[in-house]
Amino acid sequence: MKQTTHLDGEALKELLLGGLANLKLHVKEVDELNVFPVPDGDTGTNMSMTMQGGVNAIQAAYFESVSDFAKAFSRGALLGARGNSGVILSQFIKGLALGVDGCKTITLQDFSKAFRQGVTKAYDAVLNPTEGTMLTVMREGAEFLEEYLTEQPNVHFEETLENLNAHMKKSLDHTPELLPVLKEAGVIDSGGAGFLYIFEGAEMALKGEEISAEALSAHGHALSMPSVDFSAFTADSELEFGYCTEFILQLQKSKVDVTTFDKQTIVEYLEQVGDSIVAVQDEDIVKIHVHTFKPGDVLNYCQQFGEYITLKIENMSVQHNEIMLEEERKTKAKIKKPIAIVAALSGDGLKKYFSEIGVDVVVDGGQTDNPSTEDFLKAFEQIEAEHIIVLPCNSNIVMASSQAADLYKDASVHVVKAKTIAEGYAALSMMNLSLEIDAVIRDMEQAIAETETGMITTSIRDVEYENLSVKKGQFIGLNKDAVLSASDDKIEAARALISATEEIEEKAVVVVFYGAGVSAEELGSMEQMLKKNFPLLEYGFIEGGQEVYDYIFAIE
Amino acid sequence: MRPFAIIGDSTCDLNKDMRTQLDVDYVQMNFVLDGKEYPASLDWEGMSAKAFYDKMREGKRITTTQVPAETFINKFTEYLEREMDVLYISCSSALSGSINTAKVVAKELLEKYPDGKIICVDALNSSFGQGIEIMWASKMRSEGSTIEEVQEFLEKNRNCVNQVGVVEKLDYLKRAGRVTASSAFFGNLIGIKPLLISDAKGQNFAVKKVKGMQNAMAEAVAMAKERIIEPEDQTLYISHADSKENAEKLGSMLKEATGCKDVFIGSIGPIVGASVGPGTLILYYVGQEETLIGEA
Repeated sequence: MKQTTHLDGEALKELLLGGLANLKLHVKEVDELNVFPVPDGDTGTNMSMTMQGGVNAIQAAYFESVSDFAKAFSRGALLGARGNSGVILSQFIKGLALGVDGCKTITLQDFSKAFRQGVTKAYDAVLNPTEGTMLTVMREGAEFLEEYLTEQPNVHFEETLENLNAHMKKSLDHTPELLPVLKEAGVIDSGGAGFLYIFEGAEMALKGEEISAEALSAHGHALSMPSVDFSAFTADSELEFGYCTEFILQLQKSKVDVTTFDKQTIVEYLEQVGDSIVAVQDEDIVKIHVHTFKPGDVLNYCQQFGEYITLKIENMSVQHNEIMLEEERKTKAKIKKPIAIVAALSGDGLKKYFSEIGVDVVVDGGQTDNPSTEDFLKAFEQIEAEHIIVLPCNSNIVMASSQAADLYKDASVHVVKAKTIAEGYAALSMMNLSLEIDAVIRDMEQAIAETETGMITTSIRDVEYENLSVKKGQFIGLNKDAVLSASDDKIEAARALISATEEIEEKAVVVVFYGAGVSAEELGSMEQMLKKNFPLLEYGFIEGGQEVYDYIFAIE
Repeated sequence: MRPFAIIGDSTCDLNKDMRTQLDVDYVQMNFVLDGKEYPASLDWEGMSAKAFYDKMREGKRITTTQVPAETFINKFTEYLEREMDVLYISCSSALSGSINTAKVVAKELLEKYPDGKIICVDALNSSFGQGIEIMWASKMRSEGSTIEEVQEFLEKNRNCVNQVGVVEKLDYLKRAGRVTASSAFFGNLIGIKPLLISDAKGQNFAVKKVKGMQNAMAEAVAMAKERIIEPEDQTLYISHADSKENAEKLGSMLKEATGCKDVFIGSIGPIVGASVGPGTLILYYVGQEETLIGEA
């Protein structure tokens, strides 16, 4: 492991890039943790935008000095900051930058001091600091750093960051105990989580560990402005959460004395008209974040001191309702019924047809690409049912489906051992879901027992059986695994197969699933042959589109 | 006491001989084929049963219309003029709106004929199920029952007329909206024969599915055997949509299984036929009262 004792501007840049990459990787997760102060699910996005603002400001340049780098980064972060959490983060960064002012490189002691200053700045930015949030995580981080470095003055950045992160993780896990709203929702603080992801990313970058390169692009979409769902706020809705109002105000000499102006003038006003106030002043720039029911009043008031560089006003009820609607959609999308059916199938025709006759969720897979246990579990998760019946439709898939059935706890899963497509069809065709589960399964099993499966495929080698010799490339007729016929002519192979089917004279119906490689002309010949040779049977033809088997016959 | 006429309609499937023997009349509905309207004759006047069902086999869509008000007015007036009351035993109200028209017409006519009576009874059945109820009415009338007594008896016992229908495919009934069957139960299945009862509200309800016509017939017999009451005194009725051979086969299976007195086989008329499709067999017998109400 590297043993870094000093960081220069470029090194620090790497760390922060790593932090942003790791945060972006977890943006959605952080968003979903967001319940405080307003459950509008945008913490991850806001923090990410803030970091991105910093990165945008430094990316193109080369920084030898930490001081120069930090100044540029913190200015960019402030301009890019969005939301409560974003502003707090930007203030932490601002504090860091002040802490390293004038340093060309930094030691751990410098880092610790700067970290402390960051915490102080962050607390200052929030009017009513609340414990159990990002503030707690960073404060406890600062306290740990100071103690750790006193006890072990000769450590390196690598192990220090590792220990710092472990400590902040503990602190984060403890946030629900400090903030009841988190405990109620069963989550940890979202801002704290975002903060930790940044530091974990920095740790990885420092150690030279790979942070998924796709993270930046793959999760980039989460950062674009979401489109508004208009059904989230209608004529009947109430403005429950007000407007999240953010702006950067450029103080104007023509309006106020820029050098003596104190943001407190604005804060005092904001306290009367809103909450969740974060106010930051950087010389002649004031950045405000406030939740208010009257954003217009706020804007008019503040305009007497300057002009707006950026402005953003969002109806938080919309954000909140969108999340609610999304939650609703998630639950609604589930298939809810007392008994649901899952089948493993390949071939577009088979999937479509089986869905028509009662399969709720298709697991992709068949002869050559057997689905995994996990594939089945994922299918089960799409269903909200008391009972799930699984039709593997292939003998090679019975095991994986049975394993999944054992593992799954949210429904009672029954694997009905249909070992072929034909048996799967038979089970579905006789299914009666208005019966009790035991009777449904019994009917299906009986239908399977009464069905013979015939399949036509091409032999891949020469084989000698007792009464049959098969040449490679010939068409063979299988009854499940037993080879019953072989011929150079596909139609003849089918004829001989069906003739050799047990108790064929007792059968009533043959359903023919024809495969992807079957032409209309060939299908015509097949139909003609069947009706001529077995006139008492009733036939149905379904475009299965399956590979490997040109024909699958369900002989019932 | 005034004498009363017994009137059925185009779904009762009683042929001319039977109607003459029972001394009953019927009002005609209509069917539409290729844009042309035909009166739905129970005696296949104008178009033979074979021609009719062959058209359906070819895929021609045949739709039906209920009894026109004018037909009711003319028929009811005919009997009222003869100083007779009228007992109309209608096709199940779940399958045809004719009884509603009849009631409206009756109300208006009786203003003109204040001494007359027109009583409309919902058979809650069609085909020979409705036919059996008309036979009951005719028998009671000949034994001296009043029109009200007949009405009361029918309304009390109509759900004891049990139906088991076997259709080649459910598509016709589905398209006509004359069946209750969940789509999961009867998707696009091949060779599956649904068994249909007439439920307590007179709607066709698909209760079971069986593979192949022969198995379906055997299952129909098993169902009848389980529910039939006093088979030795009963004639069972089978109506068929151009499927006489299977109807006869079903008949002998029934005789053997239930020991019934006799089996009568007849043709499904154009109205019921248009809804159930060619190849259909419908068995009627008197058995346990049907209390089931179908749910999709």
